[in-house]
Order: sequence, then structure tokens, then C-alpha cells
Amino acid sequence: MSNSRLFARLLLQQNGVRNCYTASRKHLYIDKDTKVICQGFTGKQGTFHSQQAIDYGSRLVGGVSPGKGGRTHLGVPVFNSVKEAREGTGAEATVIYVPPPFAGAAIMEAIDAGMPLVVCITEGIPQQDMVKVKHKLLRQSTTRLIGPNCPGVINPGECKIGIMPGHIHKKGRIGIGGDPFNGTNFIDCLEVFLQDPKTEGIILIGEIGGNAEENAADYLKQHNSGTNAKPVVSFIAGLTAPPGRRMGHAGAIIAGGKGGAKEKIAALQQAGVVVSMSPAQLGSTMFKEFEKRKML
Amino acid sequence: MSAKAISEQTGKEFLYKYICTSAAVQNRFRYANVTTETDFDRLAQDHPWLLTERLVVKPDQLIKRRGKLGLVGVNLDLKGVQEWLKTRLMRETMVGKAKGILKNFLIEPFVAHKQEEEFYVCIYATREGDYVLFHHEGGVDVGDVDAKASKLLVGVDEKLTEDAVRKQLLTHVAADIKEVLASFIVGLFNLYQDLYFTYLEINPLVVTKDGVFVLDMAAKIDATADYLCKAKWGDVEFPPPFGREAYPEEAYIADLDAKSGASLKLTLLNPRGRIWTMVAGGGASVVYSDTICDLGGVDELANYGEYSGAPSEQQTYDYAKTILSLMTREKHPDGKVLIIGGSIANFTNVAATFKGIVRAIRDYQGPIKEHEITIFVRRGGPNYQEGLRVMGEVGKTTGIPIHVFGTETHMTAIVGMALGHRPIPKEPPVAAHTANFLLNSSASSSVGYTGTPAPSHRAFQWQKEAQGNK
Repeated sequence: MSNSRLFARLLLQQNGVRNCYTASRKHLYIDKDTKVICQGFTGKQGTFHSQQAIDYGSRLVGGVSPGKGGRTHLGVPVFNSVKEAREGTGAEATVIYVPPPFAGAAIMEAIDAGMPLVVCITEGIPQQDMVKVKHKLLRQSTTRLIGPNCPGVINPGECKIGIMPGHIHKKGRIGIGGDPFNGTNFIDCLEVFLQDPKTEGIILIGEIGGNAEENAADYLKQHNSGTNAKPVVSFIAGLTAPPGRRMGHAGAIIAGGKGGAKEKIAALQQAGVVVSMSPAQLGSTMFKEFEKRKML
Repeated sequence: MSAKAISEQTGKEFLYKYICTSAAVQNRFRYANVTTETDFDRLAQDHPWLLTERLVVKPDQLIKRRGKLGLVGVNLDLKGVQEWLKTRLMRETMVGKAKGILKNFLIEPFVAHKQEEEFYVCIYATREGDYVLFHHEGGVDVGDVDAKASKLLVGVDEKLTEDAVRKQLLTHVAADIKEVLASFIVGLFNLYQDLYFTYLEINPLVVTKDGVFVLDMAAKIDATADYLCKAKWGDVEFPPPFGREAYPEEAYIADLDAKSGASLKLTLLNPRGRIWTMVAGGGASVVYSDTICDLGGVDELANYGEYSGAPSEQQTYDYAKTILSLMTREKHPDGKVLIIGGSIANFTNVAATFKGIVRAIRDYQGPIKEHEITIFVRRGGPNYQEGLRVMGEVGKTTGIPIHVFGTETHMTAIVGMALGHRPIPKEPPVAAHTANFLLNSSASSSVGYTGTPAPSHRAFQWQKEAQGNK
């Protein structure tokens, strides 16, 4: 009996609570008007990447560095807390360059301040911290988290939040990060891209470990089929990684039949995704898909 | 995050040291480690119980299902243990598909007990919280625990109570030991959380009238929590999976990695192999390994690793010299290849990292030529033109064959070239002068940081033009 009660509670959690957080997906969409602040602003990483962002043309309106509020850094104001920064600038997005011991708390602070978009670059946050963050995240609908351990999100020519080089991008791109407890998964991104009229095709890059790609395949089967389906091209890294070996970004391990590249590729193909065996061919593969659908 | 496995001995050490429970946990700290260097007389002195108790011996090398593999010696005296070890210590064994040497064993007191006294406990982490599994029929033949065990979810920020344990997990357990088990399981759970375990399995957990015995343990801890748990963990070791050795070079790189915000990783797969990689980036490194295996190089692939996150010239030098040192230990009849690859760096200063690699190449030029190593380079990113230039130059000045490519070449194209599957094209012209466009106007950085300067938009225009003019 306790098992069925547990099951019911989980189901409720998954359905009821997930609807809550999924409402924040729209905040993934950034543009030239998006006001961004930086947490960890005066640190080495924060300073370097903020300067890059300013050079790119992102609207960086301020930053947070506890104890240094009131100063100016890189030409914009520094605040003591995210709440103050949001009140002082009207910022809608924050990027976090805070070291692992404090990054979890930094994300929590941004959620508490009602920040619509949080991008956390930090790698190496303890799992327990992220479990708590995720727990809080799922029970609200204002804040959308990307990351941690991710390069960020970019809308080329308009806004760049993260560490990726600006000049190589021509189409929208989101790097969601390789950690198992992350704020945004493939499905979150797919929903935005499938609904965005300006997005014509989607390239999904995956890696061994976990089952995010399999879940994405399920989602695509349900939401991207028929005549209006957008072409999706994918590449999965780690095809030749043997089980038990730790490889890649977050040290992914293939365990017991789940998380292997072959399984992911099969799942995606069944959902109508064209899987490229080499990252170099992603462009040409997508081009062929556009040709097939006479989209050129 | 990085959940890493710890040895049975380490897991038990943590448990005996830190568990808080009213249950009478027996045989605390009663385990003796045995390797090929062990002096048994000395061992008996350090652990007098070895001479007075009946013993159990088994390998402690992250091997599962040792019972079924015949790798557990039971109810022996010390002489019997030594006999048992004679046919197993330093022997090559197959465990599943992995071939390895049995070199690390654990001796513990033998605990006589009945089948009914064996239980199964497991705690593991998921997104929604931690699950506690319990089965009243533990032991070697426990079977499919996911199907059989009672499960209890401790949600985020929730506590585990003895009451909950009794009601939800211990329903099939005799009344007289419910108290003991409940207290032990709650104590175990608190230990699991305090020490940042991500996985903790005890099978079997034996409970007799004499108390609680932890006969076996498998565990993983969250290595990223080192800064929080250092005091309790001490200098914890993470053993490699069975079949793989732990090399001092890996430990050296891991140490460099720990001391830096940058990422430096190295795993040796086959040190006698002829295909070596030094790839920038976690994603790219996996793709390169894929490509090498795809083209038939899996048996000769010597290492897996990556460097990223803007390591300094010095760090990159240390990384490169480690690889070069490993490559030049033994000769290979077909010579060797070093693939210095990567995609387009996010923000790593390629000129700086490549200068470190070039310095290492220069230091090792003698051995490199002796071991007939050919080097293939492909890279993009901030200041990559300068990086490629110094690479090309060191090849010319040392006489080492170094083939250099930039972003006009596909990332993994050099793998085909290195493995002889495709011809090496005439290389794109490398800038003959030092490109100083990398220097931004330093007035823009108002805090005097010493980070790498950011390339400006103007610089990228220059690069695009240069490529267009080929």
C-alpha cells in the first residue's frame, strides 16, 4: 500500500510540479533588449567574460559582488545582492561566474529575487547543492535555469550570455551543460525551438551518459511529427566509449544498458531525427534536409 | 559533479568512524589490507585478531559479485588465507569483459550466521531525493533488488525517522530486531548525507544476537564535495575500475587539475599504444576518441584526456611534457602519432596554450625523433593563428614532422591523416609575422586583472579576410 501511495505522490509531483516550472521556458528566448547582470562580477572570470559580453553587444547593466556595492566596474554599477541589482537595473537575466562552494547559493539567491533567466557557468558544484536548487526550481514558475556547467545561451547578433565565442555563431544556440542535475534539458529547448516561427531546423548535440536524449526523442515523437515537423539533425558523442569508463564533460559513465550512444541514436532515429556520424557533417546533413523539404 | 567509487575498505573506514547509532556495530576497524608487498608477520602484529579469529578474504578492487565469481575465501585461519591467496594474488583474471590483475585484498573476521540473519540495504541519490532500499532476504542470491526491495524516498531537505523506517521498510522483519535495524539504517542515512555519498550498498548486512555486522559494502562519493568533507574524508583515494591501472602520471595530472580552475584530465588506456591525443575540451576529446576508434584505431589508442578552461602556458607545458614523457618510454615498430586537436576554443587563449606545448616539444625533441613520432595539429579560437604559427615553426626548427591545420579543416580530419587513411593536404599558409591584433585597448579593463586579453571584433574581421584570401 505504501508503494502505491508513493507512486501517486511521485506522479503528482511530476505532473503538477513540472507544469509549474515549464512555464518559465519562455525566458530562454533572449534578444538585444535583454538586460543582463553578472554574479561574481568583480572576480577574474566574471570580469573577463563580462568584458567579452559588452564587446559583443549584450546589454550588461550591472553586477553583483557582496561587499562591493556602490562601486562601478567595467562602466556599470556593482550591487551587494541580486535583489538590489534587479531593483536598480530592471535586469531580466543573470549569469553566474561564482566558484563551486558558493554557486549553489548564488542560484538560490537569483531564484529568490525572481530573476526570469539564470545562466550558471560554474563546473564542479556538489550534487547535494544542485538537488536542493532543483527542488526549489521545480516549485516555482518565474525563474528558468540553464546549467550549471554549461557554456550559456546566445542569440547571434543580439545577445550573448556565456563563454562561447561570439563570432562563430549564425543561428540560435543553447549550451545546456553536461551535469546530471541541470536546470534545462533538451525538451525545454525543443519546446521553445519548435514553437519559434524563426527557427527552421534544430541541431541537437548529445553525449553519452544519462537518458536526456532518449527523453528528447520521446518528446519529438509526440510533438514533431507530420507535415509541419521541423527537421532535426543530431550528433551523439561517445559512440565508442566502453561501459564503465569515465569520459567526457561531467565524467559520464555508461551503466547497465542506459546512457550508451547506440541506444540514444536508435531512439532519436525512431523519432525521425537524422543522426550524423560526424560533427563535421551536421551542416551538410541539415542542408540536405532543407532540400528534401524544399525549404531552400 | 563527479560521483566516484571508493574501495570497500575506505567505505567501511568512514562508516566505523562516523556512524551514530544505538545499534551495536561489531568488528569496528577489523579489516587488514593485503598486497604483494604485505609481510604477514607484521600484519599479524598490527592486527592480532588475525591469529585468534576465523577469517574471510576477498579482493577489494571494485569487483561486483565476487561470491559468484569464486573470489571469496570463507572461514579460514591465517595460514588458510595465505594458501588461498597463493593462487590468486597477482593473478590475471577476467571479470566480465575486463582483464586485470588481482592485487589488493581485504581480510576480515568471519562471522558465523544464518541465512535469515542476512539483510540488504542500499541508499542512492536521484533528482527528487534519496532512496533507501531494504530487503529482508539479503546476501549473494538477493536477486533483482529493484523488483523485490521495499523502497522509501527521503525528499530534499527531509529527515529520515526510525518510525518511517520501521513502518515502510521493516515490515517483514522480526519484532526483536526492528529497533536495531531502524536505528542502524537512520544512522547510516545520516552518515550517507554528512559525508556526501551518492551511493551506499551493504549486502549482506548481518544482524545477530551479538550485534550488527557490515559484511560487505560498495559506495560512491561526490568528489566535488571535497572542499566540504576534506576533514572527514582525509586524503581519500578513488581506485580505478578493475582492469585498469592507476598510473603516477594520472595522479600528477589530477593534482594539477585540483589546484586549478582550468580542467586537466588524463586516463591511460594502453600505454604501449601508438596513437596519443592531446585534445582541448571535454566534448571534442570524446569526438576524437570516437573517430579514432571508428577508423580502426581502438587497440592502439593509448590515452583519453582533455585540457580546457584556459590553462596557463605553464600548466599546458606540464600537461604536454607528461604526455611526451609517456610516449617516449617504449618504441613502436610503426612509429607513433600525437594528435593535438580541438574545436574552436570558447575563451582559452590558444597562443598561450600552444606556446606551452611547443616548449615541451622542444624539450623532448630528441626522444620524439628517436621514437618516430609524427604530430598533427588542428585548432581554432582566440589567437589561434599565433598558436598555429609557433607549432609550424617548432616543426621546422627541430625537424619533427608537424602538420598544422586551422578552422578551414574539419576537426577530426587530422585523425584520418594520422592513421594513414587520407592523404595529408598541402597545409594552409601560416602567417609569417606575429599577429598582434590580439591586444585589446587595456583602458577597457578598469580593474587591473591579469586575465587574457579579449580579441576584438576587428580581429575577427582580419581572420575572416585572411581565410578568404587562400
